[in-house]
Amino acid sequence: MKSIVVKDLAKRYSNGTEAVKGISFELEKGEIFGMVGPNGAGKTTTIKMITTLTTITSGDAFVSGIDVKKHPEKVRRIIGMVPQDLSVDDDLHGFENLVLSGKLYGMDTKLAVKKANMLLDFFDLTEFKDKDVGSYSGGMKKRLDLASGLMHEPEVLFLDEPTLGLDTQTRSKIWDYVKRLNKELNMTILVTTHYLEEADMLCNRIAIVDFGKIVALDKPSALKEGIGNSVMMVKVKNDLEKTKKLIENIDGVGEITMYKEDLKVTLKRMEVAPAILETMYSNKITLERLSIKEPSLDDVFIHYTGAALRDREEKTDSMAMRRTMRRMRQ
Amino acid sequence: MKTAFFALLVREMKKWYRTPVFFIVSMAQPIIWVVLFGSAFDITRLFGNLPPQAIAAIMNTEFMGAKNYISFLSGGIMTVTILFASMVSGMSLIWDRRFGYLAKLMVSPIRRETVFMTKVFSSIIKGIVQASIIFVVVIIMPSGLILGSGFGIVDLLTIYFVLFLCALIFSSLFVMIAVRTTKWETAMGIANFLNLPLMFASTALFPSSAMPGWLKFIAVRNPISYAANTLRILTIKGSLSGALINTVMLNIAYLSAYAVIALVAGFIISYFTLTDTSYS
Ligand SMILES: Nc1ncnc2c1ncn2[C@@H]1O[C@H](COP(=O)(O)OP(=O)(O)O)[C@@H](O)[C@H]1O
Ligand SMILES: [Mg+2]
Repeated sequence: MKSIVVKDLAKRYSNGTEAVKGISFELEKGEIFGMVGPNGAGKTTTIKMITTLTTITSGDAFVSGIDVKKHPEKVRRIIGMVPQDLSVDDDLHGFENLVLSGKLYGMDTKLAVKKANMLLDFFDLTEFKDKDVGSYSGGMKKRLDLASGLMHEPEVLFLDEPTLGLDTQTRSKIWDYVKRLNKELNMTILVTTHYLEEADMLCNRIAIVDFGKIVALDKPSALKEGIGNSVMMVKVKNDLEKTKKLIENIDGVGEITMYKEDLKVTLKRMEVAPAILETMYSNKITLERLSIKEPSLDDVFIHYTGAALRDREEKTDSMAMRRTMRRMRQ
Repeated sequence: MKTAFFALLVREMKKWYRTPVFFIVSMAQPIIWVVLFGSAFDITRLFGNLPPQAIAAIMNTEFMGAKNYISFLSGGIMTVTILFASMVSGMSLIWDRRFGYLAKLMVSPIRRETVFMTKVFSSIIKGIVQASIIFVVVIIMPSGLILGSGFGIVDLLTIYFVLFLCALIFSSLFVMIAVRTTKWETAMGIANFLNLPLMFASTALFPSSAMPGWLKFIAVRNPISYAANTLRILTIKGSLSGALINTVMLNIAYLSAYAVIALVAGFIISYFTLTDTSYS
């Protein structure tokens, strides 16, 4: 059975904002699925609809086959959700936060204590378990929040911007935990982020969301291949013009231009790269330097939305960041 | 979901006693009230030159037979303490929303009404603890509350039942406000707008005979008055006669009616409001 099925999901807020305009996707069990897009794209709203936190304006959502609209309380039992903003209680200890979370799911004290200790261990928080969460760093709070969302062993985990506002080191650590969860427990994970590199590394499949719609959805590699055009930079000892002519005739090679002392060769497919090297070798052309740049998700993003994510973000991102930082200091 | 209810109740209690400043202030404030109100407004001083019999007569007709103003005031201050305690803790729901904890509650399978009920009951406990402190202080302070002769365990239990009902009414009211408002400032505004009229348009501090007609009309219907008057009867009068017992019963009936209305309204409002967290 599919872990998540979303069909034509749409959300119009009471103030008239159409945050999500018909989104459809399906998640297999054990998949890590990423939603990528600039602030305001509708990622959080989509997660909120699937996790019963806000009403669905139109369309349908199913989690492990359960209709979100018809049985929200059943869906709540089997999902874990770590919202964009921290949701731990600063006045309680880390351990107490986890035990309380377990009890919200009807666990008895003994079981909750056992699970809490396991998760504190998993997230390297055991040392701080009896300290006020108020004294935790931002990264520690985020880890505790993750742990808290896992107390009841959810079938499907939702992570909304789990690394927003964290430093690079903490970010990669968070991703390590997420990968382990996915591997060791075969947990289905839906994650949103606007760090493209992270989505690229972590996710089995990615949906690029822009203005409330999915503009592309595939494996990261397929997305990148889909827009084609890797670029090969070559510098040779021999005659550049001659080299250019030789390469030009190879099938699958696109435009060739000069870039400083290098030839900039556009490849329509990755597979032409070996052919180019072979040609040069058999024609006794000596390579001085060579590099191949695959299209990045950034390029993919630009391809589908007509703007770099960074540019789109500039205004809103600093605001969200400031909000998160403020929150973390509390 | 009893587990969740009690776990959340324990959370509220921990948050309360672990914030020492807040805890001490919430304990000290009512005591300051008694001392300030009791000495600043000792109305009986106004009768300075009157012969003792005349004073006794006035105290009998206007102040329910209290031996001094503190005796009259005690029931009122206990009630008002409940009102303010309910306000502070009821509205802590707004902080839970602001600091994200509400999101955790909302995504969990607990019933939406459980969120409401834990706030109401924790605020009842806090209010009753504070009112109890007042009760002890007014009894032990010099020239404080003089309990009527024959004051017994039944009176004490009845006092606590009245405090409970009163706390139930006001906690429900303020939690309802907190459920509906996302901004602390807005909620505070509404609370202040309600609190002062509730307190002064009641017989908590002064007898209704001193009020103009329109105020009296409101005051006698104010749940604070029902609670304050009942507490007064129970503390001042000692062993109660048949007529007073009837008054107490009737007041409790009124308070219960208010409590049921507040509770049902709170349930309904939480049920519908907490199903959609369109907070951002
Ligand atoms: N509670 C709300 N009421 C009205 N509009 C909202 C609300 N929450 C979000 N929005 C709007 O919906 C759009 C999508 O927001 P969101 O889902 O938070 O995007 P993302 O998570 O991708 O940054 C934005 O334009 C945002 O301003
Ligand atoms: Mg978001």
